Amino acid sequence: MSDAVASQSPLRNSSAARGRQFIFGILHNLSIQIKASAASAILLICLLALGANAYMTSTKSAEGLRVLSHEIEDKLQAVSSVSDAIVTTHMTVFRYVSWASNSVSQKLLGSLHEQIVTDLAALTFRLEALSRRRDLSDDERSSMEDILARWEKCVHQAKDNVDVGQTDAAMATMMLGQTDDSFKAVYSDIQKLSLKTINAANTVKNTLYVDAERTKTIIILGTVLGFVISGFVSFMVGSSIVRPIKSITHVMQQLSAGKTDVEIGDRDRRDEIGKMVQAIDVFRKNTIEMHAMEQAGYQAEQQRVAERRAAMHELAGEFEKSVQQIAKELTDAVAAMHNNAQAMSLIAAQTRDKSQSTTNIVIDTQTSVDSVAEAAEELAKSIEQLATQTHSARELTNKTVSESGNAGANVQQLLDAVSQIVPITGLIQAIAQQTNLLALNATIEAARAGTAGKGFAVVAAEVKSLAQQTAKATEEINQKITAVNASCGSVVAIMEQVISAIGRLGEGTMEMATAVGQQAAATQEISKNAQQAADGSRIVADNIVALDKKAHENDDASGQALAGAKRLLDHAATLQTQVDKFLRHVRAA
Amino acid sequence: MRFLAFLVFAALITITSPATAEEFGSKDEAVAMVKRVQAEFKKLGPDATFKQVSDKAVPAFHDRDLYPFIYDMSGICVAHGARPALIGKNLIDLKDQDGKFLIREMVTMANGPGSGWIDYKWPNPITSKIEDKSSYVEKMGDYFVGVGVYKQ
Repeated sequence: MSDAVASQSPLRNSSAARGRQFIFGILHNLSIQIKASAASAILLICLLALGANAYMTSTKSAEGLRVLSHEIEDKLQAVSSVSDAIVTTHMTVFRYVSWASNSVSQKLLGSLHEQIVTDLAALTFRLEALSRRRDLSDDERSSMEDILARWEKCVHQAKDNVDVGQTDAAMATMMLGQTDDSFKAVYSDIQKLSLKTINAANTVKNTLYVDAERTKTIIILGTVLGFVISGFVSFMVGSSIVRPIKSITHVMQQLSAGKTDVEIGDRDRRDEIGKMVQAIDVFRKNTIEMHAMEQAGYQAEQQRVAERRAAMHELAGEFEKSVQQIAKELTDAVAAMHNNAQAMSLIAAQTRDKSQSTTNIVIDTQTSVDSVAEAAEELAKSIEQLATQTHSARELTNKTVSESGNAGANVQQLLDAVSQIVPITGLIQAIAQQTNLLALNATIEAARAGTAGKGFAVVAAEVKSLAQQTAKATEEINQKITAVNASCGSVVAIMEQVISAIGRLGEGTMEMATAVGQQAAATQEISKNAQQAADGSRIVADNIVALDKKAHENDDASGQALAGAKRLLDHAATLQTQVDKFLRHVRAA
Repeated sequence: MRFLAFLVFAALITITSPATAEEFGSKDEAVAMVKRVQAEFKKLGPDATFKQVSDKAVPAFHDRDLYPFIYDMSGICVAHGARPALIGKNLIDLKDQDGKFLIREMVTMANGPGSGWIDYKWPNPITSKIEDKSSYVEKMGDYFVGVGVYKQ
């Protein structure tokens, strides 16, 4: 027994599983709209069926009630009324025979006879009318025919009875028996007919009751069945929608969390869920492809950034190199300029000292010349002294000339140094322009780099302003140099005048030396010459003072040049610092 | 018992009293009258016979309380010696006071043995009272004819 059950149950299970698979197969291939309305449709169908049944039953019941109330009741009433009338007539026949037997007047008997005849005719008419009723059943109709036949006989007998009664009361009494029987037969038939009608009514009532009971049962069963089936369908549809939607939701959550290696089921369904699942699968594949593309794009971007950074580094290196070179050159140039300026300053100082000493010498010379003038009188006395003094004067003059030449050479050297500064300032200016350009490029690059290049842009702006300041400083230096040049030119011219004057003084001294022998004759001339010499030396002194002044000016200018060169140096250092900062930024970016 | 004794007594009186025999017809006279009707029927045919039987003026068929009555086999009275009102009426369902279907019995008698005596109750034309009657009935063509005596 248990073996049989055991061997049978898997078979049953598999067939049940097949059935379920079949149902789910259908469910999975129906659109959700159809599925969603399935339960309602089933309920609706049940409702319609119940409604149709109720309608039909109600119609039938109404018809039954109508038949009951209009036809059967009416029929029963008609039959009962005819029956009553027959009874009445029967009684009248009795009364007639009774009257006939008890010597009632012929007149009264005649009228009663007439009434009986009329009543019988009327009853015949009513019975015929009853038999003609359309609502009679076949059974009732045949009963009615029997009644009519019996009634005919009854009418005959009643009439015979009262006819006989007119003349023969005793015989009429005799005949009452058969008349009674006839009437009874009619009653009995009418009773039968009534019974049939009542039976028909009962049948109708019974049908109504049975119908009502059946309708009740059908409504209960239909309602329960509708609820059960629609509940089952709702459950099936719900589970065939809810479960996959849950799994789809899970899959979508996984996908939105970035997990693309999720398993997606229900792909072979042909309803909206199947489509949804297919769409999600497509989405999943797209996501995978997008991830791959993003990865590739990211790598490419990384590479590009690295390349760009390398290029930037290279550029920065080159820039640094060139800037450093320029800065070095600038620094060197500035240092050279500084040295030159220092040298120039030194030279100017020397020039000043020299011109001071020259002035002193010139003053001494004048004093000597004055002494010559004064001592012209005592020339004789002191020819030797004169000769010596002339000789020393000549030597002094020579020395002065040579020193003045030295001074001129120094000035020339200063001029040369200054003129050497000019190309350097040109170079600085070129560097400043180049820096400016670089700063401009850097600004553009910084703008292209976006937020990352903001610091860089600040630095570029700094460099730019630095370059402009450098250019301005260089301009100033140029101006100063021009001023120094002009001053130097004046110094040279004056020096040349001094030299020429000294040269002339030397010649005079020479002439004086040659004329020493001619002291006597030339004492006057000596005196005159000495005067001239005094005048000349005065002019020289004046010139020397002017030269001294110029030398001072020269000194100031070279000091200024030195200060400019120092500032230039400072700027160069700042430039270097800023460039380093800028490069650090560039490399960091 | 008393009733039976009375009957016996009555019978004795009937037999022993010729005076009363004269007042009422006897059974033999009744049978004889039937025979006369039969003879008349054979001689004159139905209609004339019925007429004569129904005519109270014909003495051959009207003797004291004796009279003939003729019905067809369906129970319709075609001729009556005492009660002409019955002529033409169907009395097949007629019952006496005891509920006896006397006409039916007569029809049965006529159709069966052809003749015989039948007892029933019937109004006596002389006394106008319903009395016990014994009639001799005989088949006559398509009809039957009967004459009865009232039992005293």
